[in-house]
Amino acid sequence: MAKEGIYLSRFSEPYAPTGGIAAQGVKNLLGRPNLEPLELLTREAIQNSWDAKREDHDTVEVTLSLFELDIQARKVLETMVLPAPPPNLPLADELNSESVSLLCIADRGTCGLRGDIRATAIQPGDNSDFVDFVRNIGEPPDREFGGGSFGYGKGAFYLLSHASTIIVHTHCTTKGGIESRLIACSLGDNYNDKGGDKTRRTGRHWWGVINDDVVDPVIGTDADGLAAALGMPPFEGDATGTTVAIVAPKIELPGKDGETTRQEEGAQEIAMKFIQESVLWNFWPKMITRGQRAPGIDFTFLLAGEEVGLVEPDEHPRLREFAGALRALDGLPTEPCLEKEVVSLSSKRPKKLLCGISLRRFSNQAAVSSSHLPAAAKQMELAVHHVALMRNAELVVKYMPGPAFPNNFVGYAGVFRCTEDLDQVFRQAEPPTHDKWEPRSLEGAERTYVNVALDRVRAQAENFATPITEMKASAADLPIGQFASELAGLIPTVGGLGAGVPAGRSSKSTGVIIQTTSTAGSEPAPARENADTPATPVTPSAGLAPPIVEIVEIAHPVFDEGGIPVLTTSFKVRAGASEGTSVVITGIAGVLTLDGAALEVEPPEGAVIPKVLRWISPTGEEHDAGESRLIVDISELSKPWVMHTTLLPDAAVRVEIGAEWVQ
Amino acid sequence: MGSVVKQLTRPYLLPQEGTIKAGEWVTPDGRALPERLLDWDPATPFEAIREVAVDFERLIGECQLGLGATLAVTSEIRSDRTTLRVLGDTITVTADSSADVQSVLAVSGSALGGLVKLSTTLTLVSSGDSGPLAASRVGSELWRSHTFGCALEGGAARFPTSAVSFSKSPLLDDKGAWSLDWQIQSLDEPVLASVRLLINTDNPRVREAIITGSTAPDSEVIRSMISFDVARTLITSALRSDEFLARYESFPEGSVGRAIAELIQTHWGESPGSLAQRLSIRPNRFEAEIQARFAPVDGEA
Amino acid sequence: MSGGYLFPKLDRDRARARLEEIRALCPDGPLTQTQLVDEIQMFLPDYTFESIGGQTITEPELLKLREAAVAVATTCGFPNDHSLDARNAFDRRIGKLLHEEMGISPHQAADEDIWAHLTLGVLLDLAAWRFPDLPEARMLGRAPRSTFRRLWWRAEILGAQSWDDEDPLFEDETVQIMERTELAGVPYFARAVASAFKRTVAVNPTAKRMDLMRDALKRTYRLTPFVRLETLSPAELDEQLRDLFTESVRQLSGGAEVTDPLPLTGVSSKRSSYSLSFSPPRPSPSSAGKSEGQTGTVATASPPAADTPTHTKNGPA
Repeated sequence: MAKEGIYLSRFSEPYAPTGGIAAQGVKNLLGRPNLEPLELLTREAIQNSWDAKREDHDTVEVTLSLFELDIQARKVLETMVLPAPPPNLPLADELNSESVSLLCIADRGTCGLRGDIRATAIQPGDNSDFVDFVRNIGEPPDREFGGGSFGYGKGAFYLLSHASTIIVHTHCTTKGGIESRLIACSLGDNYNDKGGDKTRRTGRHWWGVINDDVVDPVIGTDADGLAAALGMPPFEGDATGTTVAIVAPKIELPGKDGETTRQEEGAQEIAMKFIQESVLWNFWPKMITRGQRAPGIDFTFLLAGEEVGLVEPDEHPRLREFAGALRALDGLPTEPCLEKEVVSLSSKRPKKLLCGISLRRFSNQAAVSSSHLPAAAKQMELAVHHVALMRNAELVVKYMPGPAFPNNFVGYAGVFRCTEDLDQVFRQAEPPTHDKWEPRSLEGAERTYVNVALDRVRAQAENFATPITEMKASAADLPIGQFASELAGLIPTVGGLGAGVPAGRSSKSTGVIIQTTSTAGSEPAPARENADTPATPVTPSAGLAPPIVEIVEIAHPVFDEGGIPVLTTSFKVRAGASEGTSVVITGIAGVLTLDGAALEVEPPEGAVIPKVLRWISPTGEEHDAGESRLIVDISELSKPWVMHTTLLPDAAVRVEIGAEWVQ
Repeated sequence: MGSVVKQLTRPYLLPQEGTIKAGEWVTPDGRALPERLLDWDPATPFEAIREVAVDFERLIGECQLGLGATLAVTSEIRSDRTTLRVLGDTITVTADSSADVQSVLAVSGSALGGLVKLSTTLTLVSSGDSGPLAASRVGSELWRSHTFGCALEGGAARFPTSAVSFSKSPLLDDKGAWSLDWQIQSLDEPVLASVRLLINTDNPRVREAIITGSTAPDSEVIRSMISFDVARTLITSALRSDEFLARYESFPEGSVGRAIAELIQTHWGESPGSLAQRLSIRPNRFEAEIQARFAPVDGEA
Repeated sequence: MSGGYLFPKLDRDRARARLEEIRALCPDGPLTQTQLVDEIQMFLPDYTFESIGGQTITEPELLKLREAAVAVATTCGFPNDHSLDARNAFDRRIGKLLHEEMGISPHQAADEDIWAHLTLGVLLDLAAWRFPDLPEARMLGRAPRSTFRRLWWRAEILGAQSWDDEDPLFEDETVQIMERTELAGVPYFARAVASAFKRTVAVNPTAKRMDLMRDALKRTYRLTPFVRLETLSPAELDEQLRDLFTESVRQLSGGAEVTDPLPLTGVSSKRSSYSLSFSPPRPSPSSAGKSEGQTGTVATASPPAADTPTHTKNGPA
């Protein structure tokens, strides 16, 4: 029976005269993501499926089928689908090995690989899914979908094949109704033909129907026949969609020693388990019901044709908490937990609603143990303290770890989802592997949005992880200044408050007037030792140095001749002038307030104001103070004079004595 | 053009110079109080003491106070940062008391900061059988020492450090000793916002080791271990960060990135790129380079 | 006490820039409550923390503080009542709340940067309600006019006198006490003045409060250069202050009959809430023992520094 039907022909791409992309380069386009190839494939393939969802369908059905080919199917593969393996492609060895497996990723309810089957026939605006997926591999994506960028993700299919070979089977809508197409593709290394004109080949190969030196897919029932003969999932009725069969999939997972060995006992079961976990960790948002909304993707897992049951996200010891957080973000009721929080975050400048964050805290389930876990699951092997970052398309970009609780009894799970508005911005921040956001790849406000969002989600997780303690609770009151100073060498240019550097706070100058405090009763202050020095700058006036007041006896209380307590000050005036010259002596008494440095401006109601009472000459002659001024001939000033001022029992008085030449 | 002399007077008689003598301020361990306290922080109490000698007989003679007069010696500290004035205990001086008194200032550091000024006064409590020109109002100041200034704070850097109880934080293991709280994503943020060394006060050995003036036998070892660990953490994390390697010259002043770049520049003087290469190729050898620079164990005999 | 929270700081230049940004949102008049709420942030860009001195406060804790402050402000009439009564009540109650809830020390409270951050970030709308023109002196952190800084310090210095709703000190009176370090530098002294003032007013209801405070403080400040009032016992200090206030009443009323307020009763003899017990020097200077025996005021017990009582909130009544 296998002999019925069409036999495909191989077409190996020659280099165009203008050069072209080498097949090897295509596989490198994916870079080296930090994922097992099997998880990478799962992510990329299913993202593609979701992106291809038909608008008239709410749900995409995805079947992942892993099986070993029986003898008949192997024959179909060797002779009808992949005849004449080319050089520099590890296909021949794989076809000759003990067993050959296929891993099929089949999506239904999707558009299938639409559009013309030849790149040359595509007009601007035409759909080019088929050409993009089958022929233009390695070329930059010409359009963007909701989840992954189509151009790069398909490299993952080839990467996962030991033979670097896939078989593509699709049902899509064309002008003539639903059309079935099947073609096989390989990415090998370049080589030169052995015979003939030694044509140089790129390493890209297709198996199909060759028309006019171009390879086309086999169309119609022939295509369906071959797919069925290989055991690939069928299309029911007028279903559309795509099945990609990976020939000889690399399903081997690293063992405990980190080495990968093929033909491991039970390898297929382990691989299927791993695929399921990968699907769960990456696509759980598409697998849960949300109120009235059915899951976005309906998964079926087949191992050797038998359906393998799946732990639903809501039953999953880890993911159910994330599922709860996502439902909470949509305002839906959730299972009880220790604490939950849902917030919307905005950026201030520019002002924009950025994202929603939902967090829940719960008692951690026992550790998940398995030797083969997807990357995310490994992160959370001991405990969940993560936030699932996703765009509006709700595919998990990554799980961002927040601070962990040390004892793992309590965990928290969160969901971050950007607003629909910003979906494109976040998408642009994704590298081809779609596993993170890099604000650096953006500019201006867009960069700010992503930066702020990432920063905020981090802060939000931190805050959520730290239950509020009582205000005033707290840090120990330990003197650690010395230690903190010692460590300051690690942050050489950061300012601080240690006294190690000159404080730069010089005491304020008191101004030009030097003020004396009475020297008895106080220690002489060093700065004030030159109290007798004239305060006003001495500049010769009319060739005459100004007269200088010298205190002979500082102000102190005495009784005057009438028995009244007064303040007395005795002074001399020094002047370098001859007799006949007169000096004006002025006396001022004022109340000091506050710290003793300020003169009272306005006295309290009814309070006495001090004044100069009298001057007493060296000969004991009293001069009424009058206007507090006294004009004296210089000859009379060589001996001490006395000034009496009012003594106020409730005030400190500042006594000023000045002298200048009579003008 | 002339000269002016100004004098502050008090309405009562004052003692002559030398009647009251004040010694210098000393710290509790007997050393002279310096003009700058390098290791002070607000959790450090301020303690200083000075001797004041009052020649009582001479004083009451000069001030016309009665033999039964009571005086008080009080010291004060004022901080220009908090503008608070805190008084020490008042010590009374009478005819019967000793000529020498100790005036003490013991003040919570949290009330102080900046530059502090210390002074001591002798005031009247009661004047006894006094003369008419003697001070009579209670509290009248008979003598004031001159002011001693001491800088508690200046502009010197301190590594952001908090002593906290790990057992009260759900995120820190109770039995941990210290934890550097930061993340490599904060390279652009100020050090003083996003890096902090947390010291576990529940751990008695670490707690003792980091207290200012610690005499704990292993204090030095623990301190240098922490210092080394902090340096290593900052440097190796930075050298593993593409962001840091790409922008090490362009982080803003005061930022984490700048601080680490300067730390590397100071201790290696070569570009982070070449260090990063060494770190990735031979991490163990690079470890020794860090040890050589931040000596967790002092190699000197 | 330094063992509390570290609050985020905003330096003066950034604070000015931030204030300009906020003002620019509505150059022609007061901002709406919605505009203000939009500008509120628990951590402003470029904030920092002090290096040492406590544990860094977290966003939820700041939010909690904000919620408490808004709740208190609402009891005063925020955001719609702009009357003098509303503002005065706000000053009293917010001061108390911040003083109780922030748990910061005078050392921290002297840092203008934490007040700038609190005013421009966490409590922006409250500050803008209190001072709708957003003057720099109010919105930034410098003493003495910074919105929240001055209220915290009133609570610190005057204690219950600053938040007494029943018999409040008026704004002008409070400012007069707080503006001089001669008084405000020693809480014990400042509180004694406030208390003497209120008791004098109580027994002399016809006295003009504002004039009385002003005049009595002039008398007080005549003494401060040479009388160390703050060294007096509570009873002595109160007696001197009552004399000053009574004299002011007498002088201001032109010799009318004056009622002396009753002396203070039941006051604590502890003058300073910042003092610690002292551990005597190890190498004891000469004759230390003798003077100790005589004075009886030097504590001989020397508990470890970390456990000694430090700054407490409730000073002398």
